[in-house]
Amino acid sequence: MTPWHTDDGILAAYAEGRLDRARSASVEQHLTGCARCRAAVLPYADPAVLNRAWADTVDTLDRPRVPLFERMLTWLGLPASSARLAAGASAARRAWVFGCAVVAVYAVLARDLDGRTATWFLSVAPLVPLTGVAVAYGPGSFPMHDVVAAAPYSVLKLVLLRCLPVLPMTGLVLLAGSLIVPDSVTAVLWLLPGLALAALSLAAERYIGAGWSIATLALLWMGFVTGSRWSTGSPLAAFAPTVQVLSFLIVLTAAVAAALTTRRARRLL
Amino acid sequence: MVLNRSGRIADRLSRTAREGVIVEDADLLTAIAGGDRDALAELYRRHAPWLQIRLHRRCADPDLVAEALQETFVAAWRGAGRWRGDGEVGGWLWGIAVRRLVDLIAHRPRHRPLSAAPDPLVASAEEQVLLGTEYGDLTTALNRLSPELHAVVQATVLDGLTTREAARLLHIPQGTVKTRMARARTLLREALS
Repeated sequence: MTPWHTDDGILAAYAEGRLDRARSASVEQHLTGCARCRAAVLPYADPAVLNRAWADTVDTLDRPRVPLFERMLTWLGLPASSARLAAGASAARRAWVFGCAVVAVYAVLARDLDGRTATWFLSVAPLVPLTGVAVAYGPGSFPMHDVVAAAPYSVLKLVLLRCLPVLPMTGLVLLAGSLIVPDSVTAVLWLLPGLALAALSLAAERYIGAGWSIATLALLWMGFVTGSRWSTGSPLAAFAPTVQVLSFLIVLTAAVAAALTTRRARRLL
Repeated sequence: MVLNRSGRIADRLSRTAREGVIVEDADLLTAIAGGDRDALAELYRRHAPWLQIRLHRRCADPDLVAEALQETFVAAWRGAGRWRGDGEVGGWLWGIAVRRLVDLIAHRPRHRPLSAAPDPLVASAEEQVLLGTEYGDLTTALNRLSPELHAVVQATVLDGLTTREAARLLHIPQGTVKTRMARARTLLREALS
């Protein structure tokens, strides 16, 4: 193909950096297109680097690809191990997203927010984020639960990591649900209590375990809704401005605590 | 010559040894796109040595070179299906490799890339004459450029990087790449006129 070929002297000089620039450049251009000279350059390559790069290549190809969500977390600055932990419940998370979608559909169907449907909907909807936490991370449903329980991780950090996939997705799903419903003022009502319940369950989980904290909060919430229905006659009483403000404060506190701890955790890592 | 396009690369390579059947690089890429690990191994055997040397001429750190090499062949494995079949496979691989190296170097701010070749040696009169007849004045002019200007010429003209990539490789602003390139161009043009 190419009539001219480099000789061994030139190749050796090039590989060792003894060749002047112009001839280096022309050797490089030639190597790009000449199989014969590419083969002749082998003795001057560094076998250690070649073996290592090949071993690493095979290693990388054999490794499963990092899922998008995990890569996103790493890209946002989370250490790889923490990202794996936060994303570890992907299978359970899918089931939970499906659950959220069901509730959102329910919200569309339950447009008439006066009757018994409304009571049911309003008592159930705020529990969505709560069950999200439970389903995604509870023992039995979270495949990494035992591993995580034995890992030398600070509990608060662990809880915050577990929030990562649950909270923003819950917010988005609930927001989308409430936007779909016309006259969304009443429909949005369940957003804040829902987020507050999730935050509370995550805080309580440290002390009494995920199952107990979520069950207790769910029962308390159902009791609260039923109680306000009896005492005032309207299921919407459970979503009075006082409750909204309180919920907002809880969510705000949780967000601030999360931000502070993440910063501290990042400094430690 | 009619190539047998069916059959696994390993079989065809063993026929190469026996019957002198040549497996082209492009065929290797087709096989790689189909998930043939042997084809990747053969591509590595053919191209990794010269890529390693050329990368080493751009960066003295063997760790970075090994990493760039590894990322190049991982990218080739995943992107073989996207190779359009125009131009040399060698040029395609080098294009990937040098950009991987740029990325790796850009993430290590303290790293100092090598200026590609040693400073021009003072050539003997005899050698000057030889060079003059062999390559013309461009050689002398290229060898006489200051290390800064030559690094820019090498990155943009010889390695085919964009201004932005060259700036990341050399840790200088893009504007500086452009001014140095303009100065180098002027000097080379003067040398040729």
